[in-house]
Amino acid sequence: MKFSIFKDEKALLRASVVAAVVFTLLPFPLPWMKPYWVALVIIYWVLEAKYFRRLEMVFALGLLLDLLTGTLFGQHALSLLIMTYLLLLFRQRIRFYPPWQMTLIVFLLLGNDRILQLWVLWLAGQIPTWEYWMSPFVGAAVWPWVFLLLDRIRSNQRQRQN
Amino acid sequence: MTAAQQQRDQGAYTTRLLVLGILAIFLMSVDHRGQYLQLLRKQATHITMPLYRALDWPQRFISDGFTHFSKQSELADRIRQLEAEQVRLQGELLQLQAISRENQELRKLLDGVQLTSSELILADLVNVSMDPFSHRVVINRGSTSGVDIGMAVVDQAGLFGQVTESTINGATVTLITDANHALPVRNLRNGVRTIAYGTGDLHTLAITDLPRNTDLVEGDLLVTSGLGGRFPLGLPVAEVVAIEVQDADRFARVQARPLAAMDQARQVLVVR
Repeated sequence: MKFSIFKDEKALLRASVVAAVVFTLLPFPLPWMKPYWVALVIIYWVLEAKYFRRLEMVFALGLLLDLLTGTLFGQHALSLLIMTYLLLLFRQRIRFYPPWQMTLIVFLLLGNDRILQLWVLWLAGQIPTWEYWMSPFVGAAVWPWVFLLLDRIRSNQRQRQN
Repeated sequence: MTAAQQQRDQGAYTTRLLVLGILAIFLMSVDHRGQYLQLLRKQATHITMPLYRALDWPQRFISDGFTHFSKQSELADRIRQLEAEQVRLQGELLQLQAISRENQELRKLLDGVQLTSSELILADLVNVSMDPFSHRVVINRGSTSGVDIGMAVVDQAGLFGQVTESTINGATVTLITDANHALPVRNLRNGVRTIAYGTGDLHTLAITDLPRNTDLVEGDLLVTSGLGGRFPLGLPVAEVVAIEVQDADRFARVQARPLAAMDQARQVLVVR
């Protein structure tokens, strides 16, 4: 018997976003090993279910993340906003890419985001070290697992409902 | 989906992107420029602090569990070590008390300002990871323990930061290495006063506006000067590690290494 604790897809969406925020705040032994969890979760939901079409949601989530992690108020908001926008524009194409190509796209999105955030940090007078640039690699490495996990839970749910 | 609808969708996304993007840039510049968003951050702490504490609690529980299951002999060793340390510190404290009393009397003779004896509040760092560039940490003591905005925070070795937000059961500390932090310091060797700026790097403070003939050499110890009224006088801050003088420049660039263990501290003291 398939069992799911999530009432519907919206519940799973909410739970996954909350989990991503919590994971962001949990300390890692090596800080640079931490992927951009919230971005990965948003990428999944935009691609697979076209959520976050209302960019205000992403914006608000970004502001929350700014308050929680102590970054400049608006930094994560802008970062997630632009990422989601790009995804919404190209999702029709990206969705049907083979997994490795999708991972590459995720890598490029995260890399683009680092460049964007570098611009913000630079204007605020901070120059990041090499560790800063590790994030896209870590994110791309974790992406397949995030994708598979969320996909598995979702398909279980559908089967249960049918 | 029809092509027309898709086009309409894209238009809507772009409008939203532009409006929200401009809003984000506006918010960031306001936040960077000054203290305008301080009230918002202060209010937000009432929401973020309980979350931090909730995340901290299970981790603390687990590490306590490890202590519980560690070997008896290890614990006994540790206690013996700590007792030895305690005796040594007690001895040093006695000397310091004598010196402090003497200092007070001398100040009285000179009719100078009385140093108020400061009280220390022990606080644990809360185990949440903020952005590595934010140079902020969260501690588990707040206004009920007497922690208030502006108080200096030290660890065993030196000045750590200052309290920037405080709620009932927790506070946010901005490190002295934060890129927006400026700290009035004094060279312990000769009393030269200057300002040490945070650089955004956890291991470096910078002094940028020092005339090149100023007497400062590598190895000099910088302590708080007490000017500005924010920090108590004489807390050790940093050690000068590099002095760079360029011919074209009228000012020397000095790098100093903070004495406090910025990235390793587990417990800190708030100076009340």
